[in-house]
Amino acid sequence: MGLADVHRVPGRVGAQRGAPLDGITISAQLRALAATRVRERALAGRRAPVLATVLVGQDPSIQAYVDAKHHACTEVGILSFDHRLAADTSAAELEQVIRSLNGNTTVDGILLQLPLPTGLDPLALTNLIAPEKDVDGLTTTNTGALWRGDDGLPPCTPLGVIELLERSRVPLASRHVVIIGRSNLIAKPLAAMLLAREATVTICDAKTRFLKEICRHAQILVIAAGTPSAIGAAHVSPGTVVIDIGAVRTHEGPNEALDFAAVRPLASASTPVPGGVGPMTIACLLLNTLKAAEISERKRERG
Amino acid sequence: MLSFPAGDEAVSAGVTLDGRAYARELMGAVTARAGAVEHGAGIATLLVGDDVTASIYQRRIDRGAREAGVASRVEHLPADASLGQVVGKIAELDVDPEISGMLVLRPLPASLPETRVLRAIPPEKDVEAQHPENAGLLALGTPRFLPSTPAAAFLMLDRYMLDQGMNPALAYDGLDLVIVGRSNNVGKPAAILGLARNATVISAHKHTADADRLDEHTRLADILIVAAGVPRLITGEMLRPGSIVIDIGINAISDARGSTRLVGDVDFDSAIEVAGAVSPVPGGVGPITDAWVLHNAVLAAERREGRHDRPDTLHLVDELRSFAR
Repeated sequence: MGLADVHRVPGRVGAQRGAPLDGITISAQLRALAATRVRERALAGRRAPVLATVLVGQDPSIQAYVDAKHHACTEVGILSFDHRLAADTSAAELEQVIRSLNGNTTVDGILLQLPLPTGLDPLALTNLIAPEKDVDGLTTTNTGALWRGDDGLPPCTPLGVIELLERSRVPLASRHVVIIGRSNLIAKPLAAMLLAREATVTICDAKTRFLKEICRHAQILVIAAGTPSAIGAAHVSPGTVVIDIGAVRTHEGPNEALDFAAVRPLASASTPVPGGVGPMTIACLLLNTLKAAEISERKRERG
Repeated sequence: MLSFPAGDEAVSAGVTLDGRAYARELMGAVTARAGAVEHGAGIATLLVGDDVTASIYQRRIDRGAREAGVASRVEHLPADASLGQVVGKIAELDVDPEISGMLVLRPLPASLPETRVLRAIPPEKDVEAQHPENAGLLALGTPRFLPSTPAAAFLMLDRYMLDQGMNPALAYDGLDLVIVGRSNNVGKPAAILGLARNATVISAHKHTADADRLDEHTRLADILIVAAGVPRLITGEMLRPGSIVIDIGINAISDARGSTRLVGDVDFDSAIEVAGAVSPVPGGVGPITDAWVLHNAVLAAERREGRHDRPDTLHLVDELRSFAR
């Protein structure tokens, strides 16, 4: 028995057929929301949230990415500081910088920009960040909190996907979401977030035998990794919501794994690249920085 | 689809997976390893309140520990114990040199904040991987401990695959693994363990059933793990012929004459007619689960003595080879 035997055409979801899931507009809404909350804090006598970024090395595209984060902070009234370290910075020096930021009560969020130069262990160094300041949501403790459903700081890119879907009024509860990819950075945390929102979640990869059939079974299809064969019209049932985040991680433009032109007429909604998930990630960093500021205030008030 | 011997015969009942036999093997290995730990292994269990099931479980762990030569400390606090008292008790257990692993039994009284209690457990002794750091290590694929129930399910699966002449490190590649249930102690960690084996993992649950879509997922499953807590939720007609079915549910039901018995989430009689193998309830994952808690306490003791600093094995093959004769 194959998947096609039990295939049912998924129901229509909230968005209009062929409509883009507009990350540019929705991320602008989130940035406006962040700006409002910063203003409300100021009116309540609370200081502006503070983000510290740590960048090791001089890769121009990574520098530009960090610059974009600072620009977004400035725009909404979040203060941000950049620690730029030489490419040959030792683990011990980097550890010293992170520990000093952990101990600095005027810093709410710490972001260690990845990738790090070879020789520096990204997970070990990320794990030095105090979980309550880990605005990228990548420490082991925040990963565990996410899976357990405890309060914590979630990772920005999967959070961006969730915000994009929810603010586009795409229902998640009881919907079948198929994720292609199994990365620790995106696919797995996204699966945890979708499960918490009552979706049925399938995680596929290149080894999945009936990939086409499983994808056709999806009401929401998330492409979070490249596949050996491009995802095209044969993988998408009419009415499916298609999210492409392959391009986010690589910073290399449109994801070759998705034949967007072929899929778009079938999809009830889909993310264009650029303009889909990409801008959501930075907007979610702002929300996490606000949340981190609130966590540290609650902690101080509790004593 | 898996091709097991005798799979071509149209009407052949599946194999009943013998959890008690697998548990005896595991207990043998745990006993041998416990005996080799210089300063001994010890498990502490802490029950807060008077939940009957948790209390029975606590006694079972205590009995198993004695059998395996693992020290056991059984602790009980009243249902109105404060967070401070519970955290204080955990700290007291932490300094007991006999104790290498500890377990706070659930459910906790509703008045206690569960997250803060679980965060008080020292991660190196957290044998059910309930501390967020341990849950995170598991999610990232480098577990310190595997929580007992999903470990028992995969030990049974890996062991069965070995019996069928397959290599469990490779046999899951591309298989469709359907998990029914999304709890913190079973459904979610089972999904992680399935991903670590390169299975295609489908996580279904109550809301899948509410949308009337549960059977379309279960019918595709090469392997089905059910942890829904709903008696006989899964029947034979919902299964793929030849699949392997692991039943985690333990439900007490009363029959017409008012006597109570335990049934799983799978309707065994109809399932065994369709599936290639089914784990029964009782006598399935339960006994392995108990032994796994002790295994983790011994693992913690071995680490304390610097015997090895490896993460717990996601693939249980090494573990299996250690007691395969």
